[in-house]
Amino acid sequence: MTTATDVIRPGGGPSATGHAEEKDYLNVDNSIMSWLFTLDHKRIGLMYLASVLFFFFFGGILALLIRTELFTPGADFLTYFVSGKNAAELKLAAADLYNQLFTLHGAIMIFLFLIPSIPATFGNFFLPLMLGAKDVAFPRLNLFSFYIYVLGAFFFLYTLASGGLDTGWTFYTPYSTSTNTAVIASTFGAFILGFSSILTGVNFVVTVHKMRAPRMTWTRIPLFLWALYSTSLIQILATPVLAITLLLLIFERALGIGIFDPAMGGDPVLYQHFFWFYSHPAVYIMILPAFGVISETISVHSRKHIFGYGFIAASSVSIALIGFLVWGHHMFVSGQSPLASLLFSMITFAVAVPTAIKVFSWVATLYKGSIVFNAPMLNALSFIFLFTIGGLTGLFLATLATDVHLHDTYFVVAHFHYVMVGGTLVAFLAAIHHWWAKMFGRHYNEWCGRISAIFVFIGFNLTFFSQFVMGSQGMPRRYFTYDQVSPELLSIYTRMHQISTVGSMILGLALTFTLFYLAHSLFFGKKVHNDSDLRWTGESMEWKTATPPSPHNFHEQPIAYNSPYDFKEIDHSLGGGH
Amino acid sequence: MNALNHLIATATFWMPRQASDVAVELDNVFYFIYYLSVIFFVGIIAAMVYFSVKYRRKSADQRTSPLAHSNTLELWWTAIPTVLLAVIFFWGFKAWVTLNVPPANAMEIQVRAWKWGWEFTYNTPNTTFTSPHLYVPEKKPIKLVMTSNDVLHSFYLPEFRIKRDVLPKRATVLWFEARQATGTWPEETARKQDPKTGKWGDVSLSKPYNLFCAEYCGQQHSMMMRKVYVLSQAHYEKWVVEKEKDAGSDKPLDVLGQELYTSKTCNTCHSVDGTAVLGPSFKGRYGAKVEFADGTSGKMDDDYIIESIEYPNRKIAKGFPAAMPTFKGQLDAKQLRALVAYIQSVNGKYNAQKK
Amino acid sequence: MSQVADHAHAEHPPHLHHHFHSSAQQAASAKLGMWVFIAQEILFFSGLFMAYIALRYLYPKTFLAAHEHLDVSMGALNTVFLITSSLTMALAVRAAQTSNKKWAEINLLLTIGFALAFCVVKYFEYSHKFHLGIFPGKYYAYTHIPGNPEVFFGLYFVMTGMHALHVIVGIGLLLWIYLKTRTGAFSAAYYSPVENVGLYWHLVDLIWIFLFPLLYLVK
Repeated sequence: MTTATDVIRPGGGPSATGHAEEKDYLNVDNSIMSWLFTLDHKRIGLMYLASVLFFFFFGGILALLIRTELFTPGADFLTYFVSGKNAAELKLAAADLYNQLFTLHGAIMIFLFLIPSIPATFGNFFLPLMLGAKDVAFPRLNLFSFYIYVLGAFFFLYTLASGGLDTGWTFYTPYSTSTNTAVIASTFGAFILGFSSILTGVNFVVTVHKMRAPRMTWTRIPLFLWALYSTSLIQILATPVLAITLLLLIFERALGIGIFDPAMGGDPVLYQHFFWFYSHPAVYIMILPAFGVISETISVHSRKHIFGYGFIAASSVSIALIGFLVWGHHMFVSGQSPLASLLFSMITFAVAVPTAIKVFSWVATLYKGSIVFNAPMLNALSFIFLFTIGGLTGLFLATLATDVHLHDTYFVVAHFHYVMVGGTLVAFLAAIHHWWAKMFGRHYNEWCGRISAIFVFIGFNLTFFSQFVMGSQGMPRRYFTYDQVSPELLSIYTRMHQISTVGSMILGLALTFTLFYLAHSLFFGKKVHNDSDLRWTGESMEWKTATPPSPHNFHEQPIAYNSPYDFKEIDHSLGGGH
Repeated sequence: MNALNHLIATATFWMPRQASDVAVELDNVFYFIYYLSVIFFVGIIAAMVYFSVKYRRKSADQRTSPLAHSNTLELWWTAIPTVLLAVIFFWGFKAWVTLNVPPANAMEIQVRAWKWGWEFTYNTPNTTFTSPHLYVPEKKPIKLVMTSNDVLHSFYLPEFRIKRDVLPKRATVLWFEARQATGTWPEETARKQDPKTGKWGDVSLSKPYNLFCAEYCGQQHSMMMRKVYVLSQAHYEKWVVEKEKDAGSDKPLDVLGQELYTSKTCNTCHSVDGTAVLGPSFKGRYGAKVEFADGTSGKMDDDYIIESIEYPNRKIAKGFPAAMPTFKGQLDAKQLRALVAYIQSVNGKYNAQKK
Repeated sequence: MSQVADHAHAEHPPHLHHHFHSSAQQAASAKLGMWVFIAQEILFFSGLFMAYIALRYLYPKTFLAAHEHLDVSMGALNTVFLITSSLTMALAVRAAQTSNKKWAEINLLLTIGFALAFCVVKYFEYSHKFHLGIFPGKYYAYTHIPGNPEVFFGLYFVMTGMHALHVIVGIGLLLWIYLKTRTGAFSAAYYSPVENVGLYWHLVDLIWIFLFPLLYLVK
């Protein structure tokens, strides 16, 4: 592994000349206070990393409980966790528990993991580095965003402690205004988390506009930053609508103001419009940064200029903008007007085009490259495989006729897990391996990384491909039991649920294994003494600083003389392109 | 039975059996997208694997191509998907119009949903009657006019490929036409041995379709299932005649009450054998003193029963959650009396002769 | 290269954060950040405006009948207060830019005064409604309006309440800017906070300019 990349070295970075006694951002000050009150974007990024990983594994355990229950058609596994005087009572108590489990799994994964995952961790860490800046534009606001995130997370934990939540992460009215669970606490938590997201977005937009290194034109910005920039636009423009929606929901519950509740004269479909106006663009908040990560990893690990830079950058922005006009495709069967459904379906197909362009460009980048199968690259290739399935199955749901059948079935569940887990989580894994040595100055074990990538891929496909089948066979989502269906469907559902459950166990083990070898490498991994120890480097500016970076990122202001994808291996005499 | 086997055979790896013509049309759209997707997916992954293997790093100083974009290629791979997506959109739109426009001669059935059950109301020239399951004649367009008593539900028949949310205080409409009868009235049965217990018993030969609630509605969302029976015209008429007779008959009140007890899903929370489920059992409580959650108490008499059905949260029995939905407006005076009579009969007090 | 060289702390004025190269870059960043923040504020309120449009479309008669019960003269008075405060705010920003400390202080105080006057009028408006039994949502107890006016008033209280909350936050920000002005923190070289609070205050004014006709005037 090391032999192949030994020759790849950034040109004359200051770190190569060695500041041996110089402190890096990790050991500059070891006190707890220096972490808790740090204004360093890198340390804030790491605090986010620790938090989102905690919530990811927490949400993952909830998912495994759900999968275990669904292994059999009737109520069994969860009945061991509840009390009741007889079988009927146990079954209903377990049903309540199940509803809480899937609600919290969804809410935690979306609000506490997926939305902050890549932007708040790798975005925070690398956005200033890749721009050649010393920090984000507003470091104090950045720290403030982190603490708002923590506060919002506490509200979610409070929800858990105070009777849970059983509305589904969508909080649809009038169920959410009539249930007995802690709706106000959890919606207030999501409301607070929204502010964290908005402020991070403001910070990133201003940083990209105002803090770029000299000569870094808009066409020399790494694609990861184009993705983060597009994401930030959505965070700023969509999240406030979620904020007001959740606030109205809180008022509805506390005061009964009658905007969404039909009993008071309100309109529950209006709630769905409000909710999806945010939550559909939010899907792009979760997936656009992943696109950016894949653009970086594919080009670095095939030592080739990314194919179609302009198209990829433009497609990020256009996805972000068109993404605001498609929310109604979540509501084809909700009773919205047929004309609205027609338009939303049409615009949804329009989003598919830029997304397809991205996938084609990544594959074309591999052409005549120098491809190496290390952990980040395996995860990136796995991403292309899984995301392509996720994207193509979206076509079935964008099509008016087929969506009528597939809406609210496991087909939808499988589709969005292919995008959110097969897409965002796998890209997150690609990013963490790609930048691990740069961030921590230690190497993880490459073989462990490869094994993890392969088992995540296998476990994931077993878990979710089976869900496509049961979904198109009609299995509705959010079902605690499925033992009352007709015999021919029962046998299909049972078999598919069993495959899915087994797959989820493999996926869970593979991810736990990943956590262990990464944590192990933090303390025992091979040390990176200077840049020649790195297994790979790129041409973007995060590779032009010390490893790990110094507290103020750069000793000398770097200057963007050329494209971030201008690798030394590229043989310009070969012709073609440009 | 041959026709029936044929119908089951229409089920594929991806789709359940096709119970309606619109299901055929919709499945055609589904498979068109499906095969297109397979072609694109195989193409993309084949290219990815081929490039990855062919251009894998063989030496540390392997040179790479300077190719960074190609206008021709990019134009083609924008144009071709755009055209194909337009085709998918229009086909999907066409099938969707069929799904959304009920024929003028459709027979109307009222659908009511609540936490957690369904009820179908049939208006015949003679009378009005209700049924907990959906019975429809074959080859006749059926129009469903649906509304909910409480939260959102969604009416979903997977074998018919139709779905529509059911909203409170608003009517939504759905229609379908069943292709072929899959059951009889009265139900045809056969003597069969249960493979598990070894006991012999009557097993129905009907193959009813599934009705699901597809919009999450709380605790018993997954238990909110009913059956759809497609009958031949003759069998359907027999069923209607029988239901009309029931509706107009002077059936003893407690028997009517017993029917309501299951059709209105009282049985999911209230037992008649003394065990407490989500709500108190009906047995052993009639005429007895009831402790309320607010510390007061009262007697379980006819008035209390009727009040609790219509305003369940006014007086909540101690030790039980305030979980019951209201049934106000869903039961007429006779039906309320019938439920009271049934509760009395469970406690051995009701005398059928009394009326 | 030389003008962007690091570790040139000696040349840095005290207000310049170390991660910026120049005061101009810092000021431009602060201003852009504020504009972007204002964009999200507008989206926040546009949610309320959309709710208003949707419900007005559902219940046109009720909305018409209910809006008659709002006090147009009080609303108009508040409009005058806010527009005038926007003027004094603009003058305060101008004074800060020209290092005119006294004039900035006077104008900031005037702005705070108008903002407080707005709140006082709002207080009388609300208490009159409460006196009649016009409470938000399920506490609504005024029976003289046909239809379901509780929906209109629910929306009225949320919209004007969220706006009033922004006014109160604005008063806090203005006080902070006023106190900093007194210490002489701002001058022609550094006035970003004054400018940004000014932008915020104009936004609060602007939202009211939309709220007032929608709730009080539109027939």
